[in-house]
Amino acid sequence: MQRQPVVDVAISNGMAVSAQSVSRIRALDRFRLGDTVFRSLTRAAAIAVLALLSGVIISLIDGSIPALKTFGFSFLISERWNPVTENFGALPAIYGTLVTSFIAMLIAVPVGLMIAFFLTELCPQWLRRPIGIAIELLAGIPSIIYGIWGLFVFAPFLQATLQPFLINTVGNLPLIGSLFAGPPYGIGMLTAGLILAIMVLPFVTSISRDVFEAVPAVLKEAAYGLGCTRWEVVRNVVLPYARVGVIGGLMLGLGRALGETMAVTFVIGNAHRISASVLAPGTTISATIANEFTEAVSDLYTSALIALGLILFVITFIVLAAARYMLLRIERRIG
Amino acid sequence: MLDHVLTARYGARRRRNVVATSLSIAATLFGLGWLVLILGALLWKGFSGLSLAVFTEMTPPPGSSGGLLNPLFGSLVLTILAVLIGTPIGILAGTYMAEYGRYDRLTSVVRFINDILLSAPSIVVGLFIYEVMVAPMGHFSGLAAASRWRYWLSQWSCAPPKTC
Repeated sequence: MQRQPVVDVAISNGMAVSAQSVSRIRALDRFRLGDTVFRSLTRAAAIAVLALLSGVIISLIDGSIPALKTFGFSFLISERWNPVTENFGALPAIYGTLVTSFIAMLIAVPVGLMIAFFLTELCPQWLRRPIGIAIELLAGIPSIIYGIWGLFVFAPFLQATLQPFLINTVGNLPLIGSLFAGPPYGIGMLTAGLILAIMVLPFVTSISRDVFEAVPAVLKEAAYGLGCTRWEVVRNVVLPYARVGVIGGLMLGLGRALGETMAVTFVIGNAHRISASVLAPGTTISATIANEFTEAVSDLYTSALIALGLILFVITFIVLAAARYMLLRIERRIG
Repeated sequence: MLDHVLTARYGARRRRNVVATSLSIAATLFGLGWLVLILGALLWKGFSGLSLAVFTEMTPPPGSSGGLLNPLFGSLVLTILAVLIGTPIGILAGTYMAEYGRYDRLTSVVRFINDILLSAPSIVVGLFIYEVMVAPMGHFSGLAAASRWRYWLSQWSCAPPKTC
C-alpha cells in the first residue's frame, strides 16, 4: 500500500471506483510482484558467485589439512619432493613459479610499454586498430598451443642458438655467470619464462595503451608546445600520469603469469629442485599439480598437491588485491 | 659558446628521441613477430595433417591411422554445457549488479571477488571442482569438467554488464 502511485490511491479511496481503475491497480501489483521475483533471482545469482569463491577457499583449505598437519611449516621451506617416501616440500615449486614469472615480467613490461608508446604516439591512425588487435590476438591463443609450440619449435631453437650463446658469453662472467651455467637443455626455466613473457605481453600492452590514451590531451599538447620530443612527453608526462594504472595492469599480467599451467608444464622440465642456473629444468606450482594430480594415489600425495594449490591461490590473491587497490586509487583520483 | 652547448644538448635530446622511437617500433615488430611465428608454425605443420578423416573417425590406438572425432565432440559438448549453465548465472548476477544493487555492499564485494576469480589460476578452479564433484562421484566425467567451465563462464559473462 505504501508505495502505490498517488493517482491510484486517490481513485481507490474515492467514491467512484470504476472497474477500469481497479484493474489498473491489479496490473501494477502484478508488475511489482514480477519485479520483486526478478530482483531476488538476480540477487541470488550474485550471491551464487560469492558462494563459489568461498567454496573454492573452503575446499582448498579442507583438502590441504592432511598435508599441512603432517609437514607443518616445513612444507613451505623443504626442498624435498618424494612421492615414494611421501615426503613433500613446496619450496622448489614456489621458487620456480616466482622465477619464471619474474623473467616473464622482466621482458614483457618494457616491451609492452614500448608497444603502448608506439600505438598511442607514433602509429598512424589507420594502423592503430589492426596492430592493437594483432597484439591482443596473442592473448586469444590457447595456452596449450603455446605449450606445443614451445616444446617442438621454440625449445629446440633456443637450444641451438640463444642458450649456447649465453653459456659461452655471460656464463663466463663472475657472479652472474652461475645464472647461465650448465648444458643447454632447451627446456627449462628460461624457456618457460620467455613463453610466459609472450603470453603476458598482450595484457601489459592493452592495459597500458588504454591508460596512456586516458591521459588528457591538454597535458601532452602543453608539453609538445614547450618543445618536448615524443620520448620526453611519454617519459615525463604520460608515464607519471598513468603510473598507477600501469602498475595495476602489470599486477594483472603477473597474476596471469603466476597461474599459467599448460604452456609452462610443456617447457619447464618438471624437476623438483632449485638450481642456480635459469637454463636448468625446474617446476612451478601449477605445472606440478597438472603433472602429478592423476598419478597421486595416496591421500597424503593428493593433499600435498591441493596444499600447493592453496599456496598459489594465496599468492595470486595478494597480487590481484594489490592491483585492485591501485586501480581503485586511480579511479578515485579521476572520478 | 652558449650556442654550442645548446646545440649539443639539442642533438642529444633528438638522438635520445630517435633511439626511443626506434626501440618502440622494434618492440612492436617483436610482439607481432611472435604472432606470425606461432600462427605460421601452426598452419605450416597443421595443414599437412588435416584431412576428412580427422573430423569423421575416432582417435586411433597408437600406430594406426584415424581421426580426432571424439576430442572434437568432447570440446563441443563441454562448451555447450558450460554456456547452458554459466550464461544465465552470469547474466543474472550482472543484471543485479548493474540495476538493483548498484550501490550495494554486495555489488562491490562481488565485483572485487569476480576480478580475483577471473584471473585466479585455472588449475586452482580445477582442484576445487575435483574436491566437490569428482571425489564424491568417484570418477572423472564430462559433467565435472563442464561445471568447471561453467564457473569460468559465469565469471566472463558477468564482466560486460558490470562496466555499464
